[in-house]
Amino acid sequence: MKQYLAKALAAAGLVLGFSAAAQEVDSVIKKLQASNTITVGYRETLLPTSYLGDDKKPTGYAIDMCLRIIDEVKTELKLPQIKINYVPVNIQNRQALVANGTVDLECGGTVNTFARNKQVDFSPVSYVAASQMLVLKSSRISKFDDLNGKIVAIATGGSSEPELKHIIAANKLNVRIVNVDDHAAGLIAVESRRVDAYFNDNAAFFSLIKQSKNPSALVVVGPEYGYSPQGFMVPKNNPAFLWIVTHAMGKMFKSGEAEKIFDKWFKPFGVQIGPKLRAAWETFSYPE
Amino acid sequence: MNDFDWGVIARSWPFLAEGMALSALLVVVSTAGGILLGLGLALMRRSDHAFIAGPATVYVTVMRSVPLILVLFWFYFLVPLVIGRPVGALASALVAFVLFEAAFYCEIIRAGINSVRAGQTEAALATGMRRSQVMRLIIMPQGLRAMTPLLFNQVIIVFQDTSLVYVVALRDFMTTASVVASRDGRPTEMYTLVAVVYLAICFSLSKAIELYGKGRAR
Amino acid sequence: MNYNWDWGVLLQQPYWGWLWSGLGWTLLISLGSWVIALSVGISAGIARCMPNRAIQIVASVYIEVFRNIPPLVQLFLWYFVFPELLPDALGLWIKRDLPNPEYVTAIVGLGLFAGARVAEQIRAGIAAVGIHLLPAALATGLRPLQAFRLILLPLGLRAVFGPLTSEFLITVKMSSISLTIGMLELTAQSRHIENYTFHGLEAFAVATVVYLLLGLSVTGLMRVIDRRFGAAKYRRASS
Repeated sequence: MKQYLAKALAAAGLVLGFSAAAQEVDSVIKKLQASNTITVGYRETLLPTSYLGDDKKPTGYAIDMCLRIIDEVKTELKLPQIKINYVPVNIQNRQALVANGTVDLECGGTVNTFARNKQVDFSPVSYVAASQMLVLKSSRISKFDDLNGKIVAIATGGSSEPELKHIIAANKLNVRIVNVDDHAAGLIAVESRRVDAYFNDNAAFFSLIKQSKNPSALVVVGPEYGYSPQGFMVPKNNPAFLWIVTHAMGKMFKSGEAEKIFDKWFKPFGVQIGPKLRAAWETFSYPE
Repeated sequence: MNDFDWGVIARSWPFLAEGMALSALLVVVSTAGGILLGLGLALMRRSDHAFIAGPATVYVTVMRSVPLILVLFWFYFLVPLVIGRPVGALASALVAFVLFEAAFYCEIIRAGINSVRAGQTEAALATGMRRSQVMRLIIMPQGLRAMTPLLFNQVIIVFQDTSLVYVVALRDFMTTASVVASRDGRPTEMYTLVAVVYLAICFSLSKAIELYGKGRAR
Repeated sequence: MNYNWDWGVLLQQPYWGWLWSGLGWTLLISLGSWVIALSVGISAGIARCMPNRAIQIVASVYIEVFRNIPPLVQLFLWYFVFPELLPDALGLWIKRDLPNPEYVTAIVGLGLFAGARVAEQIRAGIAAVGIHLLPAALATGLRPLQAFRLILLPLGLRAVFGPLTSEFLITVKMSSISLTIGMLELTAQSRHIENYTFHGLEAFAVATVVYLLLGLSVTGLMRVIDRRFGAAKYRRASS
């Protein structure tokens, strides 16, 4: 009954526009010590970063990284066992679920932005994405200048939208922009020649090319535009937990373990660690 | 895309059937919940007290003036926030559908009740029946006859409405087909199939309702 | 429940501008599809009442097909399927070179869906004022089309003024589904703002109020027009 009352009050607070009181400090660690359980958010289809494998279990680059982080949590908190509770998250809800403390560690590919930092904290950089173009090989598009007079698709609401507008303005291009609802629609638009290029964060292209009915007809082109550092989200006001995460990743960066994990997942797609990601990792490779 | 591959339908049939099952679940829950809540709203709107009738009227007016897609977005974000844990798109969509369709069922039920002449209420009250008894024994049975075809029609509309859960990526029949369409690169075949299936179901249902209405009129 | 309300975000640029442009597109899509819905719907409604059996059947098939397929599916048929069924060059022209292909697709798709519903209303309107007026009108020497244009349609339109207003408001709401083919109308823009600011609830609230005001003002306006020129006046005059 009390619980229902609390929920009703929360709902009333929402309607009236109050926000709940700030959460207590280090809630994640307190919860871990009390229940031995950590809630990990994962993405269902973000290949190869975080997705459901053939055995319907979360797997991928980010999941591997997070498992090492959880090992470090065990050591630091002297917990023999930690139970991992996996919760699927998506682009729309991932941020809210971390902000409200449902998810303790979001293991996906979320770009660290100023706006997001207001609501959640981020681990060190796990991956650096950049915007590129997905085109049909037959289109012969290879650089931004080739886009003049062409039609380009962008995903509504993605960070690539303002970037494309900058590119158009800087290169004085004449480009018609078509909004698509999701990556799949972007792929269909390219394949059906409704658009000439799909401009997006290149992290999304891996699964798209894989799902295409004719992968060899597609190619990712153009200079890598922008700097979109991705990290794992943790709830705000958790200094001790964030420190363990940062420390665990720093150790992996330094020991070369991070590179091994990276190669395991990205090598099959022909992707290597770029200079920007290496620089970001070096920043966190403190001496012990 | 001159080469059609209708085999894609056979191959993806089990997956599509799961989608159809979800569409059916959405229809059943939003119809049952919508009628129940709609009945409550209709009775509230008939109240003589402004503070009972007023909120119901505002609720119905707001729900009837906004697009269902916007309502789906609302609850997609609101429900997990209120409950405080992730509940998935299905729970949010079910809440959205029940609350949205209730406004439409309310108006159908209200019209049905209003179709019974006011004199009957007075006559029944004069025999010493209580108001609740009059509603249950006299008005409702007659009103129900008047509103049944409209209620069935609304079920068809709800079925068509369920296709909009596409916007929150919930796997109903439409969305499943669209997943297959992009997974196998077969939008032409898949969307044609979706259109034919919806047409067949909705057309036969609406013809059945028409026949039922005619049969009763005789 | 942990949500930081911040209504000020909506007043900042570019978000305020997005909402306005979203409203603009909602109106443009609604009006564009309404023009198509009225022209197709009135023609099909009249055709449905014509004495000629073949014309009746064509109109009925149109009405049944377009009423019984969900509008979102119809939109996808026009967007994804229709251009692929045409010869390559024509299909590509529709997808790429038509001025604003997404807008045209949206108003055609929504317009033909609404048109089927309008046709049903028109048919009901003509039936209400009395299809039995037709022989009388024909007896005065009018041709069938003239009889519809001069006598049955004006009377029928008056009779269904209210239902047509509701159909228009349904079209306004339906315009939101065009976001699935990339039109940035009001609902799309409110979700767009959610994506950028994570203050979706504020944006949804504004969109809700705008739709509500739009609905109330159209209903109010139509009531005034109806009182002046429509069935209400007609009823009063005849009593």
